[in-house]
Amino acid sequence: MLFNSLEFILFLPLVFALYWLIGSKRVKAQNLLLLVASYAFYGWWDPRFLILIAISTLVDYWAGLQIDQTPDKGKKKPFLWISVGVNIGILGFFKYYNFFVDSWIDAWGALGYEMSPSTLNIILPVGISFYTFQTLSYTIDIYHGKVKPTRDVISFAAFVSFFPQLVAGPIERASKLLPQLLNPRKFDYNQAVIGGKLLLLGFFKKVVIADRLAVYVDAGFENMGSIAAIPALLVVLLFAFQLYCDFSGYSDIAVGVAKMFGIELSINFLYPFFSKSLVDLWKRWHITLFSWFRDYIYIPLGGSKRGKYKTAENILIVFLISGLWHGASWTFVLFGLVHGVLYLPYFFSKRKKQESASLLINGLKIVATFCLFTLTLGLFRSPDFETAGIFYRKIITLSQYSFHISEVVYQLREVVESGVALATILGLIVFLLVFEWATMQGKLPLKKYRFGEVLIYQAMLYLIVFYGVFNNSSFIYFQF
Amino acid sequence: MKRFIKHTLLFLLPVLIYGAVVRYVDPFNYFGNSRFTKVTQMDYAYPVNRTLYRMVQFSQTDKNKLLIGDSRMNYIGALTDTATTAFFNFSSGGAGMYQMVDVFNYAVSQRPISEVVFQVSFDDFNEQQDHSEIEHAKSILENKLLYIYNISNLEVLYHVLADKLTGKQPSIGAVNTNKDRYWEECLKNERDFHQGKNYVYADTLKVKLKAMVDHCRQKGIKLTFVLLPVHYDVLQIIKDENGANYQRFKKDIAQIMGNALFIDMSEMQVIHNREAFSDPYHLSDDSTRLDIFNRITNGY
Repeated sequence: MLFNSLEFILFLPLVFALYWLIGSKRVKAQNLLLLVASYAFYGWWDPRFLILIAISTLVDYWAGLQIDQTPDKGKKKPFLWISVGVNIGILGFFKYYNFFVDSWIDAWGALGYEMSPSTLNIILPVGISFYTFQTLSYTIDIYHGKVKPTRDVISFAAFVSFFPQLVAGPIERASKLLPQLLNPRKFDYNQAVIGGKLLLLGFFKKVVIADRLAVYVDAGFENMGSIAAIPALLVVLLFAFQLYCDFSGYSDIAVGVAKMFGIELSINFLYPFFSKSLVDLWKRWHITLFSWFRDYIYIPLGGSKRGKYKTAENILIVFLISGLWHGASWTFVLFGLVHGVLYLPYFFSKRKKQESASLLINGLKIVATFCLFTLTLGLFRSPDFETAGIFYRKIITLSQYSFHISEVVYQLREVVESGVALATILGLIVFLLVFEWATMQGKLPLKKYRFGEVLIYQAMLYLIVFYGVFNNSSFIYFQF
Repeated sequence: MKRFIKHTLLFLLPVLIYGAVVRYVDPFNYFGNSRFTKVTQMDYAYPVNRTLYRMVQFSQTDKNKLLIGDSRMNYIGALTDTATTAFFNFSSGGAGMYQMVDVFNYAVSQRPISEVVFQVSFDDFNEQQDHSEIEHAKSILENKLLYIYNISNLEVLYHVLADKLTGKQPSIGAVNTNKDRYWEECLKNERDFHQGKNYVYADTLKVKLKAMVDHCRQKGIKLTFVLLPVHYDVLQIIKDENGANYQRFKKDIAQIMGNALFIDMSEMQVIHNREAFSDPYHLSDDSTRLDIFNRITNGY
């Protein structure tokens, strides 16, 4: 089920009402409801893949208990490897099997050996990368003694499949989410209101901005060969906002819905487009994924404690894996590598702790970081290296540019039919940025002017209702 | 909890009230009990969302003979709105040929169709004009909530209310200029259109039209292609600026049509009579429109 579907509009109030009707004293019954609702939510898309979640859940539940009950650290390891093996095995098969087989065939083909293709027609289960990482962290944390396993299989299954964040995060840790599920939750009016506001903001980002931008971005990348340099730049700029609004919109809805159920989820985006460097940006973008990589890959590899070269190597490994996590394609791997390489100078910069107080300098840093990030998204969005190559050649070759105003207007029409439509969507993006900037700075005096606050959220509601796109378009990060 | 539910409902109240108003008024007659007369629907709902209007109408009629085209065909087909004919006018202003093919596919997917008069147009035979509103309108037809909260309803209600308050006549989409000036503007745009890069011969449309012809042959649907007249001034610009493609277009249509009938009215005598047109594209002379209507629906 999609958040932006009419089914969800009925599903959410129903589950919400039942959940609080059961009451906070009957935790197990509430968790059972969450589990049933979560499986219904996921199974709405394709019930066959519920079996994969069930396998991951049962294996990790069992492995967690075995690790805890085994006193000898050495003997704990096989259970950990079973958990890692099963989870990574499922993820690897469903997400990467065809990718590696194709790459293998291509590699031999490049050496002059013909191999017959043996790829399978595999459907990628939605959200598999998210819940796999979430449940994996449970057994790893038990192994390291950071978390105690639970014997309550229903609550554990609800932790793995908690519907607001099941298919696109935030990727939660057992240490944060599981205790909340094991203990009574009380309905908190203020938290529920904040949740409702986040829900609205998330829908606004998704159905008003992201899905409207999707039309231009899709058309732009489909016709990358024929459009000029300035429209190509516009397309990738719009994609930056589409990606952000799509993914952070999902996270806002997830966090908002969870709050209405009395559960706190982690923040996944912290105003990333106001970052002053790429290091800063990766601390604000998809925070739960990068903290996962930090804790379960970067630190176990040695982190930054084994000298500069080893640190650089570890950073590059993390970014490569992060690229591959995003999709089974070499464009994603290269995207990860490029960010790893771009990250290093910032990371090792001796001046990194010197914060500039100048508004101008900070503004320039923000703009530069945004531009750099946006340019790399050409690689992220391109379906293949050929399209990415066309895009980068187009924007690098100066001869591709025309600055004659009528020509530019004509070129832009190849991407966006109507100037009014483009102006409207750019206006909404500016509104969102101002709203986020003011919220970030704590300069939004909404508590003082309640009427103003109601007006802003009413405006969002009307835009969602009348200007939103409800065409069952899924979220970009579902595919990851 | 009660406080939260109360405040949530209060917050949603304007949207809920609006939904109730739309459900009651039903501007497009979606629920079959619109408070608007047919004339008001045509004056307001049709110009705001022509595709949705036609699709709602189609879902409520059992006619199985169709006129499919753009505003030019709509002018001709407007006679079906008043006269008793076996044809349903599925034409809507602004529809390109890609959308017309989608209209055809939608109609035949809904019920058995016996006859289709399908407008072909050189200006619309353009790869750049592949926009189609059918999928969106279809999703609205399938979902009452999407209909109720469709922005078109808001637009219709606004215009009706504004005209009532100001005492104005309905004028959505009306051209606010005199005929001569508008005529010249149209010709200039037509010239720019063919001189610029806006026209890309629609090779992909040929495949779609061929599939449509094949479907009609298989299902025994009588199909007629019609090339409606535009004023000589426009025809001359097309021939001067894009003559090769125009000839290619006519040749391709003749090649695609197979057993279908092709009625070419592009060189009718009336194209030299400026008075018979409201603008260079649209015939306004009633007797000519009736004559064309009779010819295309009787297939001669």
